[in-house]
Amino acid sequence: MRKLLLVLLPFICLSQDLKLDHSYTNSPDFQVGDTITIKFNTIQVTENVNPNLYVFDYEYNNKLLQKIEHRWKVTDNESNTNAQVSLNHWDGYSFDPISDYEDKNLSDQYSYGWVGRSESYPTSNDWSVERITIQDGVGITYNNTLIEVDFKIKDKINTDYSDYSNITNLNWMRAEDNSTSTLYDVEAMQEKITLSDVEGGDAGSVTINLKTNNDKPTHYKYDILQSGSSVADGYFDANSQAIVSGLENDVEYTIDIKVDDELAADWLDDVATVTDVFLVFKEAIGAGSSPGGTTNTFTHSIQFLLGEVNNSGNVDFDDSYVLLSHIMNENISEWFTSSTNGSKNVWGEKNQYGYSTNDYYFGQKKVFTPTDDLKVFDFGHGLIGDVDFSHSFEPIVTETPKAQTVAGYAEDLDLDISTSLVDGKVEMIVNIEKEDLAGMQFIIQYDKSILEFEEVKFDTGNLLTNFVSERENKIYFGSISVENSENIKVGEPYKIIFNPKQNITNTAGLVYFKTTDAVTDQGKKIILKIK
Amino acid sequence: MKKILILLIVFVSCTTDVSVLEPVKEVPESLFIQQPVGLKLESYIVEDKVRINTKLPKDGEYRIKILDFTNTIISQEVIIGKEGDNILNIYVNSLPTSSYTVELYSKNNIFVGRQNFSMK
Repeated sequence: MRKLLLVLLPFICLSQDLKLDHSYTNSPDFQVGDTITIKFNTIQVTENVNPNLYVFDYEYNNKLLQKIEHRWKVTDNESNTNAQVSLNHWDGYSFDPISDYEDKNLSDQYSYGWVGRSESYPTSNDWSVERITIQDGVGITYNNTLIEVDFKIKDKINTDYSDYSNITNLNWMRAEDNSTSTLYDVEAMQEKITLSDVEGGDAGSVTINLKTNNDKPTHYKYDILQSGSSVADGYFDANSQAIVSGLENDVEYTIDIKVDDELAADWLDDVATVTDVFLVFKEAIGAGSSPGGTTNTFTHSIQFLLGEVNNSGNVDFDDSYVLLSHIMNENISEWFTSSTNGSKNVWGEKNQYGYSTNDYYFGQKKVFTPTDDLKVFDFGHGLIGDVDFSHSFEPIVTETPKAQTVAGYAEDLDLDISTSLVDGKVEMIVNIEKEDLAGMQFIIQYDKSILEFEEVKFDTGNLLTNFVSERENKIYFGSISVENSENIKVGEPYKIIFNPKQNITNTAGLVYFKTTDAVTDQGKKIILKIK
Repeated sequence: MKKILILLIVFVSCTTDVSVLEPVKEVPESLFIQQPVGLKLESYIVEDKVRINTKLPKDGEYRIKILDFTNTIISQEVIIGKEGDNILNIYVNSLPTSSYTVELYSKNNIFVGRQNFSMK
């Protein structure tokens, strides 16, 4: 009996219904700059297995490949012309397969490696993930290409990679007969793709790395100048990099790095929030305009530049008033970052950024010189109004004694926010239990085709300044203790009420929790996590 | 006097209660759940809105959570459901185009079901 089990075991372990394959369609004589096309298809293993739902994730190395475009092919075959398709994309993540199952066992990696496993996708700057979803009323045919994706091969010269091995991975797959909820076993055929003998590469290419806490690096553009004339310009990629060619060794260049205000229109108003107001206010109380005081709230010199929002030359009460007005939807100064003013940019070479010298005001060293040995340059970028560095690079601390970083101050807090249908209205309730909050701000987005905003009911305390404004389909609301004499009441300080414009059964998805921000009465930034 | 008080209490509680879901008489085939409890979406590629069936073990308060790729909750609803099938909607127009996970929990945070969908 034991022998029989041992004989059967490999077959049980290897049981599979179909395979997912991916491979390149080009001739394998690759050069840097070439376009390669990778196709994905399934292969039948077991008869009478006809899934009509495919969901799978793959990832590619964005240091070595740059995605150009994708083309759906599944709808080209006669059987699946009505298939519905979707592709979603995320930069900066890589799948961490669960070790209990083989990496190539894609269905088990789906069921046990991804579903409900919060650590399945840790951040990883070098990788981008794409999710492909295909559903049809009939079985999705085998062997035909589902989708093709075009990539440009990037030069590895300025990366940590010595070759082009394993540049793509199949992560997991869900293959299901949706009519019976039957899940099928899927194994990877070619799980990873390696390009061998990639030739070429411009030894003269220069890499510019953008350093920012903002997760929208593609909204930043650069312009490289020599003696005042532009020699190269463009946008940073999803990996916060710009690969620039055509520069000469031993020539000093100046770089401008700015946010594209048109691309950034959706988030420029999120740069200065209640934490920034509070930090500037505390600084104004404690140390006036001098960074040399003993009661500074600011931890980096550059915060005096980022917090100086009325062009007076000092950080004082007027600056906190400007920022407070901003979060209350009144723009009374043109000197800070907002959707009305556009971006107000600050940048400098990473190691100098933030530290003033006679040559570089607040460390804004904007020049660089490529040499034979030095072709990678890092530039920190900040935005005026952003003293808590939510969208800015926080300077590297080299001062003695070591300054406490703003990020180091941050503390996590669980927060309960939910919507409900109550007496025909949609109510969103914020529930907090923390007692030392001096400021909170929320930005929510709602479905304007279904909901009409009615009001925010505040129950925050008698001495707090509450604010609410509606901008297109977003509601900005919150509170701040301007005099720092009372904290936000625990319980349910905010109730937001909407009127449905049509009959609705429930509210799931009608309100999107876009941004939350909070600060304690000691000026500690709070990272709010909705539970 | 006691009657007035009771009436007042009933009135106050009624005006603040979360709406109770209507019981479902017939479950469409596309939302049929064979198991005693669970969650099912009518479609896994969504535009505008998608119908879901939340099959609940008993009457009571439940939470529908929508999580993004990083498993951060970006929308959450409290419902009062009935035992058995409850047909609801998930509206997606306010969400950025992406792929999301829907999770269903009881009031005591007991897991009931999970599905994922992608936006077109």
